[in-house]
Amino acid sequence: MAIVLKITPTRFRASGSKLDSQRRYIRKVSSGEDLRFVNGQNMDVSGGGLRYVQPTGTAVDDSVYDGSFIGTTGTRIKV
Amino acid sequence: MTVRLFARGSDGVVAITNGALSATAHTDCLDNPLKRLDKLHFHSDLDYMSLSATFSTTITFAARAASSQTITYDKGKDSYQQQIPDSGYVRHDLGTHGLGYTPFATATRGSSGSQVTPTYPLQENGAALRFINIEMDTTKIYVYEFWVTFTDSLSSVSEDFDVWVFRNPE
Repeated sequence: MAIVLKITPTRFRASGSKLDSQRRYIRKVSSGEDLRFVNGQNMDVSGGGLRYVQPTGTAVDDSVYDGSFIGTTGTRIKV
Repeated sequence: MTVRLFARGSDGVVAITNGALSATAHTDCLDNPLKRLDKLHFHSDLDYMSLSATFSTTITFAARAASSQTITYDKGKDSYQQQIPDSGYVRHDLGTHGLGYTPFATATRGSSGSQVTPTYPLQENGAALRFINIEMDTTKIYVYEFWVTFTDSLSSVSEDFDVWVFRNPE
């Protein structure tokens, strides 16, 4: 069995280092994110035009787009 | 918020849970982590992605002229030409990750809200478009540029990328 817990003054490791205080893990946060992950559709074509929905949820259209696509806001991620 | 670190010697399960759980709920967190994700901060049976590396680099995307491609149609003794789109692609190196396998990676363009999502429309000018994707293989991270022009051109553009490379879950 891997070492379950190993704690020193400068480092914490658990489950064979699956959790290691010297690593940076993906965490979902409500603010202060490093980046956003989009996990749904974020572009649409309508009337010959294109809408791109940024991870913040802001829509960016070309001058032709005539649809009403809302898109998906990205999940806030901290690492 | 209080949390509780618990290590069970009989099977090596380690969990960090919410601190104010009943004994029954706590045991259920240890035994059935997927049912109790809202109460868990860590469980040794689950896999976690961690950051392997970040690096920043600037890529300059070359100007692309309006298409001069034509196709010629023959109509008996006459013929005529029609303009058709031109297109191409370039794979730009963003950096080397050194993991020895193909990892997951993504990139942002200067702020947290500007992740380069798949087929990101980087540039548009009338009937000309430039899309980019983040790609990776066993050694490097790339930005893959695909451009198409027709009656309009694309000017050169430089972009600053912050690249995020993640280890496979472990």
